[in-house]
Amino acid sequence: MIRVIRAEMVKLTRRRFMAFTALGAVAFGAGSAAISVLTAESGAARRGSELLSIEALSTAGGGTAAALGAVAFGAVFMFAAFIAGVAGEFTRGTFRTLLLAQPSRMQLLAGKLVALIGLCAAALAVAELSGWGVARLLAPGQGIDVSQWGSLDALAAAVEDYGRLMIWLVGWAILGTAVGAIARSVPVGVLAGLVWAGPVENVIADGWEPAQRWFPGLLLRSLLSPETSVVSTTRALATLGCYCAVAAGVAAGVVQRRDVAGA
Amino acid sequence: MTTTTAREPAIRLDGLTKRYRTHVAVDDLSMEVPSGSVTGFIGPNGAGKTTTMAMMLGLVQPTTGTGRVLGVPLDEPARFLPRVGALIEGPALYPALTGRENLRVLAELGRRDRDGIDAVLQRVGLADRGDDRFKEYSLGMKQRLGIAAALLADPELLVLDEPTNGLDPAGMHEVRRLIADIAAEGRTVFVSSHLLSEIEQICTWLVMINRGREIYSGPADEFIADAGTTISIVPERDDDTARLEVLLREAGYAAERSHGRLTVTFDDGPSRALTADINRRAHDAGVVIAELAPQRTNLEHHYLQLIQGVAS
Repeated sequence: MIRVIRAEMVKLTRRRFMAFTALGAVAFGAGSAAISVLTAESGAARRGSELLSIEALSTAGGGTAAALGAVAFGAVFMFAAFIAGVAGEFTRGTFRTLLLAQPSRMQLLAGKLVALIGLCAAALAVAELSGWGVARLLAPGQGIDVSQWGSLDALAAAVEDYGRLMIWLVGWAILGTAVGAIARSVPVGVLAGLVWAGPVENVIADGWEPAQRWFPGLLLRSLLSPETSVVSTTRALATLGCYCAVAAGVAAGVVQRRDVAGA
Repeated sequence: MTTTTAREPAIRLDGLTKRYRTHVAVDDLSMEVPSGSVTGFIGPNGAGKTTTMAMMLGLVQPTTGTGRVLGVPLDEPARFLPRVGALIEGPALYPALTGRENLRVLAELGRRDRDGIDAVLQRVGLADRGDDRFKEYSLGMKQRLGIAAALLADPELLVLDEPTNGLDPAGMHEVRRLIADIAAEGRTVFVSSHLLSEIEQICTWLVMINRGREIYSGPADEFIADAGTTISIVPERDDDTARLEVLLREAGYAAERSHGRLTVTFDDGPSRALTADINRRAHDAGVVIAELAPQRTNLEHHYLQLIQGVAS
């Protein structure tokens, strides 16, 4: 699988692509943090709401939480990126070209997944750092106390936040890979994925409370804002673990069994 | 490059069938490709050529049937693919990557020496365009980069699916020359085309299929001989044409006069001796021959007859 990861890195570490990704990560992290800080209100946060309170942002972990809360809205982009990344290999026909050089379909799929997760993890780290910086600049103007943001407790909170972000990322990555492998078409896969993760989950959740406990997109979002979530992190992880196991199994099955050329 | 034993065919397929619901793409196909040959895999569009090649390379699962590639069973592609280079269904590479970057991706995957990238780019005439993006390449350049990708593995067996498809005559000539050069190194080349005339000149062995079934398999020379070839004769003076026709018919030749020229058809193809005999008889009768040229038009006709024979 190392060979597959190295091959993927040839694509992902191109200077142009890296610059574009870094720029996007900085803009997204900074924008997300700015929204969190500028929309923060005084008082306890409502359960089920992504809006952070001024009190919450004034704690040691407030700096990274500012970016983290709004990053959740980027889930659709992350989901779409994984769907397109995998489905695109089939749409372009490059999967068959890769298979001729590396006949193990599972290794190709797993290597691609790991390489893309690595790139996204780096991009999210950049987003979180830039978000912290922007939040630090804007927070005093909103009456947010930033005196604890540079403490050891803040560092521990940042590590925990990043850990949650990684679990969130891996969840979306596995679900996106499964949708991409099943659809094998970028427009079909992305459309289906975005319609489900965007309007469908949220509209249903508005009128049906158990959706927060069962829908994968909402469970992944709950990992990033545990203090306002209606479901515990333990339960969310257990349910998501089941979804990811099923998704990985289905993706592996269809990639292993389906023909990749000829008609 | 290693080679298989001389007797072992590079490819052997036994009763290979691929069925898609109601459509049978390949129907009980059995064939052999001799090691070291340049084998033309000929058939009209939709005959099942690409599906057969894809099954050979482990990309498509056969419905029934077996086979071996370089002596290894078809269902173990991981064992034979490192010794095979292939271009299937056109060059599918990353549009945003340069030619060199695309080859680096494949070199990393196949654990190939990166130094080989420059060599294959040079080989296919893309050394000065290796840093251009794939999407900026012309169709001919894309085909050549696809062949370069197939050559990265230093393959014993090169499988090329319609490599001249969509190319202009100059591009076709370039690809044909490249294939001939590759074959001259002792590699087995298995190349498909829907046009016999496109690749017949470079092939030593032919396999023809139609509607997923084999209709001919054997040496290219034999097929050419079976086709019966003609020579065209143009005398210096027009009024000698009729006299020469009578003369050759009396000598037992199948001569026909049309538009000021004679056409003589040979069942087994014209030998040097027969061509010389015609020239000598004309000379003895006082007829000066201005043109004496072999024609290959019967080859395509023979191929079409085979296809139509199967179709009917």
